[in-house]
Amino acid sequence: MLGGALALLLGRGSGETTPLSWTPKERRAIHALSLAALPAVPRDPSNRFADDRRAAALGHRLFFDRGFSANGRVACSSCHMPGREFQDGRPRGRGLGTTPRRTMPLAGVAYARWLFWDGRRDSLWAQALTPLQNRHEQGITPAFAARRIRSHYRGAYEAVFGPLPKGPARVDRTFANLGKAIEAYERTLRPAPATFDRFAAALARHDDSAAARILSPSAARGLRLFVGRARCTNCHFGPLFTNGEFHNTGVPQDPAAPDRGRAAGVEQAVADRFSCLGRFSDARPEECTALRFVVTSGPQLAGEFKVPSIRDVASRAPYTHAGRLRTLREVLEHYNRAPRAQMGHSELRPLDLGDAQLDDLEAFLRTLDGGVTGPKRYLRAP
Amino acid sequence: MIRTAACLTLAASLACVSAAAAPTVTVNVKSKKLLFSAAITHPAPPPVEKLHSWTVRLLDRKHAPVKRARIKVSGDMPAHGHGLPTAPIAVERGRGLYQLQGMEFQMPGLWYVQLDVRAGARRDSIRIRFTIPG
Repeated sequence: MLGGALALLLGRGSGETTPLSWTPKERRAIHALSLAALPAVPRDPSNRFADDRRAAALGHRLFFDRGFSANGRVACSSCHMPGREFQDGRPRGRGLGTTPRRTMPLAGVAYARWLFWDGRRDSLWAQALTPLQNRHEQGITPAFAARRIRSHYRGAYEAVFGPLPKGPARVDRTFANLGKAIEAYERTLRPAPATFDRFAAALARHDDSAAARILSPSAARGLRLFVGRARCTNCHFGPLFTNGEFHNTGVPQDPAAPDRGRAAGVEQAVADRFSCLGRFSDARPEECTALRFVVTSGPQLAGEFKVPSIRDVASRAPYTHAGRLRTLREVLEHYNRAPRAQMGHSELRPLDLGDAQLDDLEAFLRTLDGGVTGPKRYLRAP
Repeated sequence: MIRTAACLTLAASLACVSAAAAPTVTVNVKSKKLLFSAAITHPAPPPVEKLHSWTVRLLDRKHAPVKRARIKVSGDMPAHGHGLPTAPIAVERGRGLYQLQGMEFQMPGLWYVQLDVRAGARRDSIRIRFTIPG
């Protein structure tokens, strides 16, 4: 009760019109969250075609080609829709069937160390090969894919990768290169500047009055909570608002089919034949640092999921790995209440925020509204 | 979240910490049963979400370097109930010096790092505490 009263006092209620004055620590935190602080796209040592323009052009065509599916109707773009930040707005993805997990958006995906909610792949190219083979998604084999490359893409393929492979590993080699082309395309998809970034830029040039005109008072209070008392930046930090790691936040699960998350994902990442340490990787083994130091066991892994980027979060309902939280407000209330986890141990602690403060946090989250950018022709079907 | 190359050589290890050579701190600490003392050098503060290396100089009760020790590295954040996001590997460099590769912290806050040391029949543990500002 006291916590609630204190929260109201600190929250200052609605109708506050005096602009906040930001402390030096807050200014540093705000700058660290802005796109101005985004470093260059990291190399992918396992894919020597990752930044090859012709590979990206080929990958663009492959990404939208429905022919790479058992029924001829499912492409990567069927779930990763360009008009919707490359996701589908559904609780769980739907290809040939329904998957157990929420489709993830692609802006800035080149920065991810691990792919999927459970991190079961360690590169974008290894990830791209996975839905292709999944019976709920595209449901084809590497041999099917290799045949289609030969019949429909031979010229474009050979212009990038050289002659179609021969010999015992030719199917897997062709398949791996298909993934590498898709990675090259996806690496071009970046987050575009949002209202928040314009605010951060104004603060960075010490134009506080311009900054105050960009964010509403409610959103400004929400930002202060986000970098302060609500501790969101513990995990949602950096220009992509994610540390790229796995945490257990006690997200509601289907009691009939509990999802172990990272605990299962890490086993698959280590075993994948298209991993950084596999024969189709272009990396030297010592460059595969993610796999080298990965945690593969321990009680903490159960029920951990990857921290998603929350750029554009307001337009991406429903939320969490199986889309079980339907609105942003439900997510914020979940963090505020910090219920016990059904699987493993939740890291959350109750925040004791009042309704007005949850309103403010939501207002702030709505300022992360930049969308996706990249080469124009890559933002739509070829 | 930025992927960096593993810092395999001692000469490169400290340079790998960040682009502009970051300040480091050396903490001198004794093990729990007083079998060992350690001088642990790490970035001050350790970076968040960046793979980096620490070094440990391990000495026995007579201040002689400890050779062929096996060191297991673990960490935890009492406030959050989770450990390190990586499983660091200790590499012996000679004369009691060990490089802990693959150190990483996924968030700011109060951290404990524990080294469980085994050298011959001797087993002991060393625990240090530090805060990563955030």
